[in-house]
Order: sequence, then C-alpha cells, then structure tokens
Amino acid sequence: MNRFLPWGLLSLLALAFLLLFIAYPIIGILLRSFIDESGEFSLEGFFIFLNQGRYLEALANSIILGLSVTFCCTVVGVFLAFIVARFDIPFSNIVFLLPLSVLIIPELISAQSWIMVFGNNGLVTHLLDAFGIPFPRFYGWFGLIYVMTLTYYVHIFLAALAALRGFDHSLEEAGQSLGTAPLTTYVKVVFPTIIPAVLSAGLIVFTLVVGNFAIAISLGQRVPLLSVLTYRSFISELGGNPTMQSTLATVSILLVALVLFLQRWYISKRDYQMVAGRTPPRSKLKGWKSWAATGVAGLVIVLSLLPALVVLAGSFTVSRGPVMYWGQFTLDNYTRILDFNLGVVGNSLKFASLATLLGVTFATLVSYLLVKKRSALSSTLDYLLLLPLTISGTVLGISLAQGFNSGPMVLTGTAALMVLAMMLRRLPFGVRNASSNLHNISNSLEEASVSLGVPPGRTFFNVVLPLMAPGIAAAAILTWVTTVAELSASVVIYQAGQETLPIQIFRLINSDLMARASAFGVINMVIILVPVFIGIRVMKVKLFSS
Amino acid sequence: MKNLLIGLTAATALTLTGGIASAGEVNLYTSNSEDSVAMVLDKVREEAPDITLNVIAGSSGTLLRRIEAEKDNNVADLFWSSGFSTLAEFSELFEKYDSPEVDNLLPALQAKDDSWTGTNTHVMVLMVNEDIVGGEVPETWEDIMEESWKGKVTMADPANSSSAYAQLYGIYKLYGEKGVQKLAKVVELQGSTSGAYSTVAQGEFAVGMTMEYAAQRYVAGGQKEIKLVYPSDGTFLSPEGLALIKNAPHPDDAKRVYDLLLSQDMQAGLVGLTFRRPSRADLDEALQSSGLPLMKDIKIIDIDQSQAAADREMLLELWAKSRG
Repeated sequence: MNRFLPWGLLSLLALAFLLLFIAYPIIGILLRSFIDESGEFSLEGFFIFLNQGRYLEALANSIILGLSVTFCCTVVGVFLAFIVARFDIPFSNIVFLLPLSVLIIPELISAQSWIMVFGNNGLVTHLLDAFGIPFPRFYGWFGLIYVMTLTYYVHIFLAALAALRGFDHSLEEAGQSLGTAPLTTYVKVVFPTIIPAVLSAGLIVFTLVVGNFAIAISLGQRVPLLSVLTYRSFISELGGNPTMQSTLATVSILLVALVLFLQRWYISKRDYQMVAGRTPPRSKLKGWKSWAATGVAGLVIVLSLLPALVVLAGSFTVSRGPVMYWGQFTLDNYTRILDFNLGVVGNSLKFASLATLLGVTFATLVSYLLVKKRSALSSTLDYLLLLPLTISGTVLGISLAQGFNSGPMVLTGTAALMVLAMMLRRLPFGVRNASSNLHNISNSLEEASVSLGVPPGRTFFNVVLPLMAPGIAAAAILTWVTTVAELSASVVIYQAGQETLPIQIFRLINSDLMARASAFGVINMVIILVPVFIGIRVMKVKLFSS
Repeated sequence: MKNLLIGLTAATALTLTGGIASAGEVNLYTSNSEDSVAMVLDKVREEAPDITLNVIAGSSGTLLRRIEAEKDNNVADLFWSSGFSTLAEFSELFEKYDSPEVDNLLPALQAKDDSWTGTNTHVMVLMVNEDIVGGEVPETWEDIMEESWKGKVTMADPANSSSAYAQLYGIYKLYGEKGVQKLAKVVELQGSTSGAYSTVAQGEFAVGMTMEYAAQRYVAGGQKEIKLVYPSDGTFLSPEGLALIKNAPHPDDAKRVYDLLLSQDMQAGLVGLTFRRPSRADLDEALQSSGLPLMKDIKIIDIDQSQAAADREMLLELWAKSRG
C-alpha cells in the first residue's frame, strides 16, 4: 500500500488550509503596509507612523503597559503559587478553581464590572464619596494595570506552581545544610530554576496585554494604545485608510515577534534540568504569618471572582436609560433579551459550536499527524501553527477581512468568516491540548492493529482516537470557552445580523447601558460555564493537565 | 413581541436562502435601538396589519455596507436611519420617494432634492456635569474655547465621529480658523462618539460637546447633576434620514411603512422613548413632555450639509495642524 496515503495527503491538506487562512492573510497585511492607495510601493504608512506623535505615543504606551502588567502579574502569580505550593492554608482547594474564573469571566465583562465598582459612577466610588474620601481616577493607567493584572496573573500562577512542584527539594536542603539561610536559599536556588517557566508565561501575558482590546478600549480613554488605534483605523465611521490599518497591524506583529525572539534567546542561555524531583512538603504556618499569607491569598481570590458577582447583581438592577438604581431589583433586563435578542444568543451558540467542531476536528487530526506521522511537512506545519500566537484578535480580523474581500474567494461579510476567525484564534492551543496525551500512547498498539490487517484509517478511529479522547475533550471545552467569549476578531468582521453576545455587550457598554449589558454578560457566562461544569464533573476532564 | 421573533427568524432565513419573500412583507434595515423598533412594529401591526415587517438591526455603517454588498440581489426595502452626510456617500443605493408626509416636516429636514427624507435631527449641545464644573456653567461655544477650560472639556474625534465633525464644522462656520485653533488647544478628544457623553456622566469631564438625545437620557434617567446647555451663540443640527432602497423587493408596501415612520403618532412616540428630536414641525406637545425645548427657543445656525462634506478634508487638516 502506498505509504503516502492517507496521512501524507492529509498533511498536505492541513498545510494548504493553514497556508490559505493563516499565512496568506498575514503576509498580505505585511505587504499592504508598503503599498499606498494608488497601489504603488511606498513607505508612507511608516512615515506617518513615525511622524504623527500619537502613533509613537501609542506604541510606547503599549510597551510600558505590557511590561508593567507582566511585572505585576509575576509578583502576584509567583507569590500565590509559592504560598499554595509550600504552605498548608485553609482554602487551598479554592485556589485551584482560580484558572476557571479567568475562563468563565470574559475580559470584557471583567472590565465592565470593575467600572461598575471603581468607575466614577461606581459602587465603591460612591461609597467612599459619601465619607468624603476621593477615589483616584480609575480610567487610565491605574485601571488598565489593575484590571489586566487581575485578568492575566493566573497564567503566571499556573506556570510557577507547576515549576515549584517539580522542584527537587533536596537541592534546597543541600543549600540549607551548607549553612545558607532559608530566604537566601529561595532567592539563589529556588527562584532561578522557575525563571524559564515564569518567563514563558510572562511572554504570553505580554502578548495578551499588547493585543488586548476589550479592557484597553473600556478603560484606556486617556491613554492611546496600539490595539485600540488599530481597531479604530479599521472601523472608523467615515471609512479608513487601508495602508494605515496594515501599518499599525504590522507594527504590532513586529513588536510581538521581537519579544518572542528575546525570550527564546534568554531561555537558550539558561538550562536547568530537574533530576527526579522530590516534591517539597507543605508546611503549616503559625501566628501572624499564617494570617498574612492567608489574607493576601484570599484577597487575590476574592478580587478574581468579584466581577462575576457584580455583573450578576447588575443584571437584576433597575435602570432608566444609562442610570442604574442599585438596590432596586427587576427581571426587565432579561425579559428584554427574551423579547428582542434571542437571535444574538442563537448567533453565539451557532458560531461557537461550529468553530469548536471545526477547530477540534482539525486540532485532533493535526496533532496526530505532528506527533505520530512526522513527515517533511511537519516542521512547516509547526511553524504555521505558531503564527496565530503572534497576532492579536484585531489584527487577525483585519487580515482575514482584507485578505478575502475580493478575488476568487470572497468571504468578507459572511458568517463563514466569523466562524473561521474564532476557530483560528484558538487553534495553537487546541493542538497542544489534543496532543497532550498522544506522546504517551505507544506506537506498538497502532502497529499491532495494522499488522492484524486493520487499515490505518480504521486503526486511527478504533484504537488511537479513544486513547486521545481526554485530550480532545479538554481541547473542545477550552475552545468552546474562548470562542463564546471571542470579541476582538469578530467585532472587526461582523455584519448586521451576525452579532454575538460579546459584540452585543460591547455595543451596550459603548452606549453606557450597563444593566442591560450585565444581563447579556450573565447569559454569556452561563453558556461558557455549563460545558465546563459538565466536562469536569460528569466527564472528569482534566483541563489543566498540560 | 412574538411577531418580532418570527420576523427576525424569517429575515434570517430569508438572507440565508437569498430567496424572494412573498407579498405583504417589508424588510427594514435599521440602526435604531430595539425599543424603537418594537414601537414601529406595534404601529405597523395596528395601521397596516397586512404587512409583516422583518427587521435586521445593526450599526448604520455595517448595514449600509451590507446593502451595498447585496446590491445585485436586494433584500432590504428600507434603511432607517443615518446622518445625511453618510446617506450622501451611499446615495446610489437609494431611490427617491416623495412621501405625502414631507410637507409636515421642518424645512431643514425635508431633503427635497435628495433620495432620502429626514426622520429626526440631532442638536449639538454642551452636556454639563454640575458636580464637576465648579464655578460658572458655560453658555456659549465661545466660553469653552477659553484657556481656563483646558482639560475640562471633551468631544469625540472629528476624524472618526460624524457628530463631532458636525460640531467642529459649526464652530468653523461661527468663529472661522481662529475658533478651530482655539478649540483645538483646549479640548480633550475621545476615541468614540459615546465617549463624549459617558465620560461626562461618569464625572471624568465637566463638559462634553455631544448630541441632545444622548445627554437627555441621563437627565431623564434621574442623574440630577447633568444639565443640557443649548449654546446661545447658536447651535447646529445634524439631521438623520430614512431611505427607500433602489430595486427594493417590495416597493409598494415599503412606501406605506415609509409614510408611517414619518407620521405624527409614530414620531411623537419615538421622541418620548429616545429623545431624538423628530423631523415633524407639529410635535410641540411631545417635545415638552420629553423635557426638550421647542425648536423656536433654540438658536440654530444654518449649515449647508453638502458644503460641510465638501470641506471635510480641508477642515480636518486644519484641525490636525492646530492640535499639533
């Protein structure tokens, strides 16, 4: 039988898909930044970028914000991981729910709820105001760094926790038995070994911050940021300039690529390998230390979950137009959705389930090809799958909309493009999830099946697929969660009649109708939560094994 | 309410299949809020029970681009509503219809030479947050151009927002290049149209240059510190209109809905709901009960909308230079 079939053919198809929907749009946007409106080669876009103050200011602000948030996330995440890994605190079980909070509370809702708490009309602001204490202005740097830190620290927390657990305790004992004080041992022995893990997580945080759209647009009114300018260049009420859109997108791609490069270079110079790690014991803290550690960890947890509660309360609160009457309750915000907006809920369900189905099928196939059937095409596939990580949702949306608005394949304005954008954004993670336990499946099982005469295709379905199932289930749930919450790519490409829940929430926040936005927010969270709950409780899926 | 749902599903099915709907239907593409749409649906059910109104809602930009994309296989019958200057950019999509209601409209909104009809008009105001403003409340555009207001006044970016451009153009007509330069030195820009009013309501700025309806929502909602100032040196209108789509699938029924949207009852109901000033001249009572001043009590500066559109590039360049 021809060895090339069926796997070689499938690799080729996967490659073609990625080339068409990832490489082509992104290369297109890079090229268009060098072309002016008449179609000639020109550096006009970059010239404007460098000479109009606000663009450079936005670039500098984005970098400063990225660094500040990454720093704050590292402090909070490593601290929390350290406490959880080393000490026996009363609610350490709740801590493990934290990663979920980040999943079920979309960024947009978290920004919205913090505005409802700390904004100039916020609950706490009014409360403090009643006591004559002025609350600092929340819009701008303070709010941006605060909300983004609470949204993203979990990435660093998880990475640091995994690294601390893998740390070989005998190294620390060795240090201490040589007479080094415990604190010095931590700083000199323990922390350096978790740096690579924290740094890779930090890189993810940095790229998420630089590409962040939802929080940036809600809170950064006085701080021009690259992601917001990029979005505005595209959806300007009065028609945008394609050269400038491409130039802004190109700058943000270059920024992330540069950081990616620096991180690779740094990690390549350091190499720690743990030999048979012996997990250190968790000690009990006593006295004020216990209170302090528990208190700070508890505060972080409460702050992480608070947005969900605020949005829940807001959704039942009476409002007249934009003005909210806290303490008075109503179901109006929900009945309005039942009366007018079921289509929006339907769109979200339809697009997200299609994107999840397509994304998980593709991820399963590709991860199998990459792990078990490596060929000459594999490394190209690897690289193409990294590409979506370097671009923000806004840039992905713009590149797809520009790439498919003419020529043989016109997709701009179709529901297919919405589904595609949602699927592509999550693809790299989906592949990682789906392949998580593929490495542990022995080739001999498959070979045994094939040698007994079962064709490779059927072997895949009957032997390999069932063994991959846990990874696929995790990929499916995580893909669902992120596609239901997707805003930054879809808001660029949606057309009338294609509004999803996050788009509707975004539009309502924009008109300052918080109570109604909250009701949509609660529905959005429920749609996200139900599969997560079923997956974890009923199907016992491990979401964070990889 | 049920009818709306059925309408929405029908409209979705319609666009999915691209088929032609049967008689007695009208497909309305609208950027208006869903409670306004509900009112229109009730009205149509009452006055023209034989018509089923299918609604596609969205922002006016996305809707107009969709109508443009569907040009060869039209689905939309009516588009309601967008600013005159935006409509002018898409004028080849519309077909002129002389509604019998046009004579009841304010002269500035009749748009007799254009392929659309005015449904309502924005009036530019200063939205003031009295908790923040401290001392004196500004009364004119000229007041807020003073150095002492620097950092306290906000508006949307005229390059991105059509209403902000209308404000800038009005100030240019009133006070010339000097006025534009003075304003540029004082005002803080918001990225979006909504920023100009939401930041004032939130107390971040003392004064916002914005639209009457947007500010009035906060007053009607019960936010006591918000006040509307109609500048006494004269203010500007930014009219919005409704249009019949060229080669519409159901032109005759669409014209009946067109007339209904301009009718007295309809417009009186809509102003109470949305605070958007109606285009009809005979609605003083409805205006008063919405808390809005009568047209005759506001000083209006005449603006030639087509001239405003023609000067756009020049004025935005002057603006960018003055901002430095």
